[in-house]
Amino acid sequence: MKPYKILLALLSLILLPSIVGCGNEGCQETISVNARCSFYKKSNNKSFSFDSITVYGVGAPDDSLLYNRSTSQSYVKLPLKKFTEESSYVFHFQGAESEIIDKKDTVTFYYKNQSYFISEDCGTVVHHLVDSVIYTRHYIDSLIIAKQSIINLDEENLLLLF
Amino acid sequence: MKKIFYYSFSLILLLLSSTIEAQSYSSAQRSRSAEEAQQRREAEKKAAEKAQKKLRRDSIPLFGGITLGTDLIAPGSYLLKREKLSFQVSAEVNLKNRYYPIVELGTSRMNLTSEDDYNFKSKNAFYSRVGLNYAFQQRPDFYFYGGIRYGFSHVSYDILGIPIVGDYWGESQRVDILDQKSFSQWASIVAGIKVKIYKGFSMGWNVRYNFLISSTKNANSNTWFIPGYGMNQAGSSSSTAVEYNIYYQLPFRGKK
Repeated sequence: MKPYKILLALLSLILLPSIVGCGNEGCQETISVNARCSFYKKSNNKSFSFDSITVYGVGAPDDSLLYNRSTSQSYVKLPLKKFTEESSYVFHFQGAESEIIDKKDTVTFYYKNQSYFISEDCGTVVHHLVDSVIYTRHYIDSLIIAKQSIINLDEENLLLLF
Repeated sequence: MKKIFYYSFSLILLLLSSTIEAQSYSSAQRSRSAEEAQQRREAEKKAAEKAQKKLRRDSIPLFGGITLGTDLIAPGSYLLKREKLSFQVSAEVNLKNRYYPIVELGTSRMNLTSEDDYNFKSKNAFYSRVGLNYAFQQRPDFYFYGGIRYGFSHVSYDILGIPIVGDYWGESQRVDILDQKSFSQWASIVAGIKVKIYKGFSMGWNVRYNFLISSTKNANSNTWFIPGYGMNQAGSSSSTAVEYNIYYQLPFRGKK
């Protein structure tokens, strides 16, 4: 066997680990799954923002708030429970269009869960398919389910009309 | 008398200059003809070389034999890291020591544990790749080559014990995603080297860059592993691979 052949064989073995090690590019996808609820005026079907709004999940540990007197909020993103098929949220409307209000509504989602493995880097997300949504009508007039499937994309799922 | 002297002198000068001119003309002509002869010789040499090359090419049989090969990296890496068990054989036909149509068939299964301690388990799956190598040197005992491939495979797999955490609601569970199936196809570009080592035996390595053409998605997952292609990373539709092959040339060849 000629020396250059031995050299090539050795070189190839040295090069292997560096080439095999390539290719891990990390997670490049959105992995949060939230129900996006947007606020609309029923009179003109236009989006509007609350001056002050507080939102929390019913039964969440330590009554933790998702939004606490948030301002200029034209939508909220709600994380649904991943292992039960019902999630309720309290909306406390505290100010809209420069008026002070103090009204609360509860919105409850009923849905099915479906785990979806994206990749090792991104992990697994849980998608939801909404069956129905019930709500109180202290300040909310009505609602529309815009998109039943709640997945790891920032899409409008629920329209709350006031 | 004076006039006669002038005329004679002018005549001599004239004759002298014409002789010099004639001499320089003939030397230029000589050098030109030498140049032309040189060019002619070079052209003839080139033509002879070309003819010789053509003769050599023509003397190479169209069918230069069949070579069988197997990749050593995949089984070797299983001994080091017991995750992926693969076995691959290839058969290539030598056409004119230049073109090598090739078929690669393999089987592969994966049992991978992630950093989060869940398992990706695929059943034994077959894959196929077909393509062509082009040898940059027309000699079968040692050549560099470039090539293209088309590959496809079908895999069945389970993902077991995936941790899912819901931060806001304080949830934490492990789930299984079972009975997943995926069909994938891809194209590759290949660059490699092949060296004859002893009698009918050769060895060589190649690197490949794979482009995923399509991979069917399930309702519950993307496949993490595609047999014959490699790991399927989210957001990436390419992979790289290296092979180290041992070849054996079957003992029959075409006639010259």
